[in-house]
Amino acid sequence: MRQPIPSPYPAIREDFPFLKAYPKLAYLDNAATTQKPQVVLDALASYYQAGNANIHRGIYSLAAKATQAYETARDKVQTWLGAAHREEIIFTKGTTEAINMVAFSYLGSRLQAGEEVLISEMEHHANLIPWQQLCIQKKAKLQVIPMREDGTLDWALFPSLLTEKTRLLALAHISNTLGTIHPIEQAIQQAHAKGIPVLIDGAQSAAHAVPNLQDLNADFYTFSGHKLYGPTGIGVLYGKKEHLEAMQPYLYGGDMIRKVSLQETTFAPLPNKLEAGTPHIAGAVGLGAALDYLQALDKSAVQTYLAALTQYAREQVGQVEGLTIYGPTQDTANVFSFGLEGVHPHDLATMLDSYEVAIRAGQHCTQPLLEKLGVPATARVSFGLYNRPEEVDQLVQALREIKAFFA
Amino acid sequence: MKPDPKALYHPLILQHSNQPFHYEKWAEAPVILEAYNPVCGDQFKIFGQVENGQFTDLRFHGYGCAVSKASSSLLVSLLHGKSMAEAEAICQHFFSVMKSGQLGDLSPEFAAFEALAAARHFPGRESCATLPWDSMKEYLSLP
Repeated sequence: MRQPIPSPYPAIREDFPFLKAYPKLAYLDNAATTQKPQVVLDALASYYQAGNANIHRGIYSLAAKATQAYETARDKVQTWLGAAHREEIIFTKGTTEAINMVAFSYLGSRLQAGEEVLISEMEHHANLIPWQQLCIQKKAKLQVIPMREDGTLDWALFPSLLTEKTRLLALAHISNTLGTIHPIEQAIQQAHAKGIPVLIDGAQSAAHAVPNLQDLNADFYTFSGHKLYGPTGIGVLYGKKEHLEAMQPYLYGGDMIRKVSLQETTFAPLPNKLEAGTPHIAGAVGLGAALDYLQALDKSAVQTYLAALTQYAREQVGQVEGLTIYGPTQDTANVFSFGLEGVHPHDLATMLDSYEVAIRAGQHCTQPLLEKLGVPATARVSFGLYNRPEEVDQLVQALREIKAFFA
Repeated sequence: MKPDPKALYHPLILQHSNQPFHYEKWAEAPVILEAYNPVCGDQFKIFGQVENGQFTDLRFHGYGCAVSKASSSLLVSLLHGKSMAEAEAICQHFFSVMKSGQLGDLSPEFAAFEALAAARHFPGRESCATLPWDSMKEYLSLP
């Protein structure tokens, strides 16, 4: 008999139509994307049904209402992140676009040949390739904090990688593959001591481990709405006001100008300067609804529950014969990767699908990390606030049967 | 209704996956084909020697799922010793069974093609079955 792991919100699955549509499914791929509560779906529908108008330009009342809905969503993001100013919140398509904006519109005009950008070996491709390509364009050097065998970064080496040539440090808060929580507070302090700005990729932390950005003092922080129970296609770039003001626009066009003539343009102040064109208004409204939903929950109770659930999963999954859990065992979040001897992760995922268990298998957009780990692919499970210990049991039972099938 | 994975992990597939045919590295092979799927990381090399228009030797090595490994093993075992014209015909048989899902009037030696064709019914797995055949098709310059 397992110890009970009581959810602080026993009826929460009722809030998610997707979970009701697939009552037998154990959805354990929340690091890829989360399901959406009814209130988010309602917000999207109600915006399109009764609120749709373009923002920042119409003189009629519906346009003003749409503008207000969009700008209210910005306020909700500001509150969620603890940002000092509302105009420090820029809506983007997601984390990927947000990081590209910082790479090409902030660092792009500053980085000189021979200078350096520092990232880690564990980054998602979204926090690797923009910097890599920028460095190639500028003949700059991409420096990398190596991963140690235990799935943590080599922090002993870190100070020596912060050099007088380093122009930016870009680091994930939580590894999307191993669940490693990086000590970003210390990293930021050390980088700042040398005058180096820091971008934190918050894709895996924004939902259940969101930092207060004024306490954290990160220069940039990025996340995606769809990993936070919100819609796809909407995300956020947070940047300190002085950095965003110094940034070139990433896109040029409507809604980002103050005065235009045929030969020159004066740009609008923040945040509009960085939000050219009609944005994903409905997405922002849906993201706002997701944040309202999360704000109504007791954050620390949810975190405690997810930590207990993940710990239970690590113990149970780890007991399956021939199974290896990769990465660190301490300071990890609600996601981990594993391998089962004799069964390729893709065969595992196909078989688990027939047992109504949805997991991710592959390289998780972290090819350099897997290369270092010495495995070509892993299976990954990740938990959301609606997951239950019974789903872990369903996974473990399936793993045992699959292991026997391939033996 | 989800398809039964036992259709995909048919005994013919598991046998090739567990006891692959000519599974060894051959760095000096005159012909080396790469079969790489960047989405999942499956990566096999097919090593070959062609003399007088015939595959006088074929081997393979690499890493991948049971389906891509079995499919590679099957390719090597079926094409080993065959002429280019025969190899082309076998490749065409493979792709026609992958398309129709039926062995039709083909010889029973191609029965495993039918099992591999089951991959079409599993999300994201068809490319596992076709991985080595796509490389061979390219090598043989087939359309």
